[in-house]
Amino acid sequence: MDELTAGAIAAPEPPMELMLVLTHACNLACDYCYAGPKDGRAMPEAVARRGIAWVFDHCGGRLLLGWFGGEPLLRWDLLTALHGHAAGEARSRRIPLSGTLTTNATLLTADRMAWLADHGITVAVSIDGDAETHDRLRPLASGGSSFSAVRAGLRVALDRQPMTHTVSVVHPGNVPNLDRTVGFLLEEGVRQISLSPDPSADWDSRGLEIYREQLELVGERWLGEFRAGREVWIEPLDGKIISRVKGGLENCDRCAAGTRRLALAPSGNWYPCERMVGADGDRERFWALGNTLETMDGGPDPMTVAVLRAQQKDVPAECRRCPLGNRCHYGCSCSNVLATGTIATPGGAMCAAEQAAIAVADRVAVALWQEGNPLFLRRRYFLEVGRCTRRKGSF
Amino acid sequence: MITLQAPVHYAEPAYPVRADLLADQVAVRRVASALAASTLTLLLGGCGPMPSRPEKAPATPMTPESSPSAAPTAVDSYTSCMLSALLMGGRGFVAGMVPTTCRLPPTTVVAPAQPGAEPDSASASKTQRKSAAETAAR
Repeated sequence: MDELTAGAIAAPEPPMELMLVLTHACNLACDYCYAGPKDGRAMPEAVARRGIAWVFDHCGGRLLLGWFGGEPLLRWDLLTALHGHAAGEARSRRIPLSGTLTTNATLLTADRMAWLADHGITVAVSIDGDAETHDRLRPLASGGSSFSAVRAGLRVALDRQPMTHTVSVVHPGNVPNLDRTVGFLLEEGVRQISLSPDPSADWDSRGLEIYREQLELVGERWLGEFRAGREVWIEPLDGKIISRVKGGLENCDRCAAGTRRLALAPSGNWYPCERMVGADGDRERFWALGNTLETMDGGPDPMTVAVLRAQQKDVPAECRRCPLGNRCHYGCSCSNVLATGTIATPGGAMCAAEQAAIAVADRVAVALWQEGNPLFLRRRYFLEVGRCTRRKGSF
Repeated sequence: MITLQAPVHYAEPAYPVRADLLADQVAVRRVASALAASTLTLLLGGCGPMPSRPEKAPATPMTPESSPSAAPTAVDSYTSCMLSALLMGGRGFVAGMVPTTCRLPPTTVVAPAQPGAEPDSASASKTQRKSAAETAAR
């Protein structure tokens, strides 16, 4: 019992995250894509190396490299070369390095998956659900269905990494199928599912009502899994439950755009987050933090970063007063920019979506708490919850 | 146009904050009993059929007698790792973030706990503390 009741320990500081946009090109033409025209601009190796060198100098001891696009697997050659370079740096500097790849999985082969797994890179597959739901908004760029190729890639990933994570964009155009999507993914063997409402979509009150109804059904599936002794992690429900169990989100749980998280575009422009790179055109450059080829040390411009951080603190009064503020991601910079064009003000639809998620999460968590579900108790209460720490010298 | 709107009615949810739970020794004992009962069921029943949920939620929350049990699954192992990563190292519960430290083959077998053994979270805690201590020492 003493072991169970021991106080929380100071966990390692979360790694600094550098998301590298390897290419703007993509072989899909998703209806809701925020990444702009799918041209062939790709990351020059020298640009990436300069950016990587800077983050190694400023990561404070742990680094996560994220491979992003466009579709990053279109530049497999670049990915392997750059990750190999970064791994060498990590070894020589004795800095733990991890990696993530966000992909549509259409080009994911068993050989590639083996390489990724062997190099410590976890995979997140973008898939919107079963064939009908997925193809509604995620067709091939050449036209036609992308579903069978995506599903095949997902299976390759799951074969090698059972905890492969999926990301499903929730949009007014597919929200009526949300529960069906989760059912499909669970049947496919996915155990980590992220449902990500599109902040830039044109949500109306009916669409949000459907989202809430569908999330209630997803909550029932989540309950069913736990009651059957099968653990599953479904965002946004589990994140909201943990936010309650922890007694509120800490700084380290919140958006780290421009601080612990940076993105590098093929042009060399630094951005606070990969979702803010977009087309890296005039509109997006408003949020750029400098260019790795132009700043003295190759990093983001410190003055621009300071301005960004000041802007991020300009939280709307509604959010400051909200009783759910300590469990809400109202400070997600990229969502805010996509929804309202400002970095600190969330969109009304995201506000409603957060409230819906908290309500459903609390309903299902209360049910398992009252039942004394052992899986729920073990996995949500009797794991040590680390406090936020900050290492000296980190960015 | 949808606008920011704080909830009109808000009540604290009826499941506890972890720190409050751990501060309540009676509640901790109740939970521990439920977990011990679950472990005992595992040891006696091996990997038999999955238990079903109770017919009705107990009137008084968290009585060991009414607690359903869960059999170990291969999933248990990697989800434990996944959640450990999330709770201990990864954190950052921003939608879309994934833990990056867990890669277990699909064939991983989870051995049931031995009688008298510490709960897995406890042994994990020890490891974590040791690791933290080593880090501090360095």
